[in-house]
Amino acid sequence: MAKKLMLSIVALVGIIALVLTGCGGGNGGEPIPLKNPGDFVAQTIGDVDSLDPAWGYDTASGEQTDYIYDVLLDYNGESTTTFIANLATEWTVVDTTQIKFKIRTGVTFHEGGNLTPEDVEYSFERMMVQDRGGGPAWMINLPLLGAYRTRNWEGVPGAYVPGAMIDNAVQVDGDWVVFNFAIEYPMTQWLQILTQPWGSILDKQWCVANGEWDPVVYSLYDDDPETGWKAYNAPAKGDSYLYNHANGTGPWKLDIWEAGEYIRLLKNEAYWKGSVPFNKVVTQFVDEWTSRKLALLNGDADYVYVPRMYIGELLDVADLEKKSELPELSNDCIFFNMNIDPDSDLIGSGLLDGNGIPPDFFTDENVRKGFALAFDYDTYLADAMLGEGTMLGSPLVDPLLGYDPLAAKYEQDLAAANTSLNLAWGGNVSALGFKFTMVYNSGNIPRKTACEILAEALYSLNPLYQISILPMSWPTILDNIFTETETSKGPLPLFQIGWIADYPDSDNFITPFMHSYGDFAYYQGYGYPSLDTKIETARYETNEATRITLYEELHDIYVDDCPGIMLCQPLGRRFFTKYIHGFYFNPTIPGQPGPLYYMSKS
Amino acid sequence: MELRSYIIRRLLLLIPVLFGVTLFIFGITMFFSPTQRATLYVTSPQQMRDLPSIIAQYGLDRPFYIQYGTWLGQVFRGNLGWSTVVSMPVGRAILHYLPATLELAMCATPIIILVGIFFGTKAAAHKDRPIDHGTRIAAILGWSLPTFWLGLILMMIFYGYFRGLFPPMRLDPQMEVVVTSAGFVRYTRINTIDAILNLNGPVLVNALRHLVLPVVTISTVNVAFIMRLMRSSMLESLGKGYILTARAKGLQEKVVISKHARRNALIPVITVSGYLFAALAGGAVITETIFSFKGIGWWAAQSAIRMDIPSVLGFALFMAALFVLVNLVVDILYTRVDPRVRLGGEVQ
Repeated sequence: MAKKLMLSIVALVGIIALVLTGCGGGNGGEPIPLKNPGDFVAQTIGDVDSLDPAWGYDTASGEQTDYIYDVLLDYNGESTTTFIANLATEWTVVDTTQIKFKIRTGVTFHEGGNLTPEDVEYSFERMMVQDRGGGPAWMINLPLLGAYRTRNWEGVPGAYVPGAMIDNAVQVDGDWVVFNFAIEYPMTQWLQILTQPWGSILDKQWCVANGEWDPVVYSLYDDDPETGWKAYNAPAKGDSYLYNHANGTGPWKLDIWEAGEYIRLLKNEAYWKGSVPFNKVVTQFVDEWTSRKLALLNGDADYVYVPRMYIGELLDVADLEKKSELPELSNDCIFFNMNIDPDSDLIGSGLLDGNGIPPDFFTDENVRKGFALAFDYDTYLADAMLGEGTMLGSPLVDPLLGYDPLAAKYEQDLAAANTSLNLAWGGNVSALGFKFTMVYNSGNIPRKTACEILAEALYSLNPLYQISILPMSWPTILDNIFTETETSKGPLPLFQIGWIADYPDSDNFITPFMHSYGDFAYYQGYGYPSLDTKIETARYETNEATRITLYEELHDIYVDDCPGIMLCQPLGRRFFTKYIHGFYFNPTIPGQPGPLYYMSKS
Repeated sequence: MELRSYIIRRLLLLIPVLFGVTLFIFGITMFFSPTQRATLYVTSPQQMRDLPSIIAQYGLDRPFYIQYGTWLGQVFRGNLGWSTVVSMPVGRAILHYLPATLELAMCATPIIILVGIFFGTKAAAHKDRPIDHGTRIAAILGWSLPTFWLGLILMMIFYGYFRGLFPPMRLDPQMEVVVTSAGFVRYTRINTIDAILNLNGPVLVNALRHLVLPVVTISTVNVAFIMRLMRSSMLESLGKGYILTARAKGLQEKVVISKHARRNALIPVITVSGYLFAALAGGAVITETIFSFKGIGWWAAQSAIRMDIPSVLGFALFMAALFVLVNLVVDILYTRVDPRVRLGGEVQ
């Protein structure tokens, strides 16, 4: 009797548990209430790295910097090619090595200082002086100094850029700030760079008063590493006052940043552009998706970050403002390693004997094209991207120069793939087969899906084509990609990684993928002098029509050479409560919620 | 053994424990290459080209003994290093995130102990009767339910279905404004205690509402454990000769159980409760993550995932010290509960 009673209770509890599992997760179709009137509350993942514009190189930091600081010029609405005045009222291109900006008057910083041209000069000089390892300063350094970094100058370990070069790079001339480039540089690119968070303008007096680089005391003409400007070069994060303090001219000012929890900004009542739409902007860092979703449905958040796999849970919610098909400036690719480390554990026997692959396996164009033709792009788009992406033929994405949605790209053609692989390595590939391991970063479902699609497609052509799939932690993958010996590259036969734009210029995408010293091309062993020349020519070409032609040619070269299986450009979505208005999409805006200053809540 | 000298001796043992723990953890991290450890400082592919300078800047390619020696030297100067995961010094990170975890632990521990003792006692006193069966089922369920599932279900019901009745995180945004304002003094950064000390009812109520779900989640698993432990301890106690004597003397059953049996049955529960509190104070990672109740457990987990070595070492130091102290307190409490036990482990 007691046993029966116990079993009945256990069964009842189990049923209740199942019912509870089914009934939760939504708000039951109730309207979303308006909460926090006058404020904007966002929930996202990923905390701010630093509030210092010279340090932050991540989206979360850029988003907050964008709210707090202003830049010299901005994009015009949704456009990524036309600019409007901001802290600069006008600009003049003097020649290919000089451009000058007239600085707006009557603008005050949050702490009360007045904006002057000296502040602009200081902001960019400080960026070059600081030049932290792995930071965004390279975009300023390259045109102004002619090199990516201020250290190891001209390839000499321990050498620094002459301080005089930094001084000369940015000069004040009355109401104007003059940028003198060390190299001929396309001005459109420079303008694009200036619109981003690393172009933020600081209050020089306030910075110096709070222990930041003082150009008088730590002179650019003093080479001593203790008493000169180098004392502020490559700092540790916590050394900078600006990492968790801010004083900009932007529509919101920093109130408090509780690391890992939230950051709160308050309206700048004296904003030079006029009234600011939100009294407070609160960004909460919430890792758990269910919590974010319920916050949106309860009205506790006006915007939340929605991972692609969960989009379906919000599509049918009536009270949400949904934006879709937003082309993000990013892509993903499967790269062929042309010079695999012979000691790699992932290439089996290391020979073309059916039990492995040789280190130079992918140097044969027929192998690469066979793989690219075998890949099922439609299934990848449907399964991995849930249909929300645009397949690519080359690294170029919409709307960059040279991008053409109708341009050549690979599509699955199993017959052509078979033909190509039959020709590979003198017929030995199809006769003997191959075996190797492909990795993906654990937890990344789209990349896992890509691996499975490729493995299955090749196996369907010939059972001797065998690819094993292995999850690997992200740090290990990066370690294995960005490594090399004296004679070979890393141990991964194939690696998947993506690129996010620094600025919306074609060179920012082409160089990493195709230049022999590009971020990816170098580590896969791809590139050659004539291609490098073409890329550099396109980079510095000032005639737009000519640039377009050059990038179209580079697109065709990529397709022809097939150094990688280009995947897709993602199409993003945004979800707001119905009370948020005014969103428009510009892929260069750092923050996911968009151009907050032009939005409203009612 | 005199209490003071016993305490001093035990505290001195902390030093080799801390040294051993940190050496062990540091040694394990050396299995990762400098590049792998450098990825902590990388947030985008664009930064990969700077990996050599990042490695050089943070000394990640120096020999193990130099890196450990450098870190140890900093620790002796009171600098536990920098927590890249949360962008603040490690010492400050511990002080910053500990209050949230302590708040959870302080709310959950009394519930766990009192509920566990109560139902464990009842179950033992009414062995094989409905209440015993009921508590057994509850214990099995509580013990078996995955924490993350329970937390999500509770959130879906009480934050979703009941429209925000018990929300996640520590406070509503409006209350965050209050506690960070000049008129509110954050004595402890434990919101409930600070609200009481500041005589602020709305903050107290709001903080309690936010505590309900994570406390229930943490308590469910641990109540089950204490309940079963108390039951078996009580059954052992109830079987002893002195209980028979007490009953023979005509004492009420209530008195037999509460004054005689339960007191002796509490000894193992006290021992376990100490470690339970220490474990909770070290952070309930899953609960803190699900409810965005960012405490030291969440911080430690993020640090481990991202290989933030200084943070991991700082957390290890904290936990080692915590467990040594808890052990000490438990040992002292033991002597108070059981007069037969002396300090140093002797039993009279």
